[in-house]
Amino acid sequence: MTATADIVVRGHVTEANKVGRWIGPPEGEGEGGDRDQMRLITLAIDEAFTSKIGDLPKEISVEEGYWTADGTGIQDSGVTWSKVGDVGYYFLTPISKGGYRLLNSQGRISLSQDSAKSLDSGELVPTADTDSEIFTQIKELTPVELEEKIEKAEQDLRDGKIEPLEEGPR
Amino acid sequence: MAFKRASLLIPTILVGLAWPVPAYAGHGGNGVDPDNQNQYIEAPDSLTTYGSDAMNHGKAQLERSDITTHWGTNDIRVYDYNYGDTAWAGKADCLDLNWLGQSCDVIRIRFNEHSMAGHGQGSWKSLGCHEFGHTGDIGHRPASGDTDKNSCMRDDDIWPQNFDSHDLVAINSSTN
Repeated sequence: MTATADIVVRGHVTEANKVGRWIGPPEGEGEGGDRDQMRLITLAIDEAFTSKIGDLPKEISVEEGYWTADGTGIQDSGVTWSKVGDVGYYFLTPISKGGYRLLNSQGRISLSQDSAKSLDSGELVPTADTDSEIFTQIKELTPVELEEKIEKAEQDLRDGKIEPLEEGPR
Repeated sequence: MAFKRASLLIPTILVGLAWPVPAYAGHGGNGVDPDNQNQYIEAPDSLTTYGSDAMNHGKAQLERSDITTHWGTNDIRVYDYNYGDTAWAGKADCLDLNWLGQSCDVIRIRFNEHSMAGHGQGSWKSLGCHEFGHTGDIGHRPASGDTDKNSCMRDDDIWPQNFDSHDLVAINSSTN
């Protein structure tokens, strides 16, 4: 994921449940059942491990879930909704109209409350795809070990030992 | 704030599955779990030719499983539109859970014309099969699990048009 993501950061959520762009036909066009409004969080960057897009601001907006036109909240691909104060690692890619989204449903690895205080111990909490192999692998790492793996992957990418994976279209 | 640089910028397209917020904790699967095996399908707005092809083909593929499909309202709603830079070509999500909150009463499928630009009818049919597969509560097939490349549930850049036997067994197992 480090090779494929455009930025990899550790950060904490300073705002949640902000409303973002609308997806779908404009209001009044069609039946309206396919209109969604994106949900945004504001992420304060505590550490940036990689950036393929240059310098990053101190805070960024990240799309995380959405609301249907009638206000029903939807988790995108099972990724739970962050709360203010949550801390985690984010593997992100930019959106053409501004802001970022998770690289995929495994693109956020949260830190438990204890881990957020000290990275030497504690627990990483992948947020989706609990059946996947990568979920189990991440759960076995400490935050420090995860950061070491991110840094190694970034170095391997620069050395040409690994290549970005082009994610599937569906 | 120090960070390291690289020069590659790869477009990334995400997977199209989603659940209402209360649903996921007890879901335990990778698709959208329909609340019964009789699914009524509608397109509330008119579809493009390719969108219609995708819907019809997806319905026909789902019919190969233990799920019986009909034209009608309030189970599966299908849309297509230029949804723009959404990162998905197709998405299936649950709009309304059943009264127990454990399976899905109303499922929505959307096809994104923006992401599908340049793709022909075959790819649209594959997309239709894929999204209707999600309505049968199945997730994606990794390449390692589909070495003969004949499952429409692959999520990489190949476009098989049909469920393979493994997909059908999975749908029947998930929804019975």
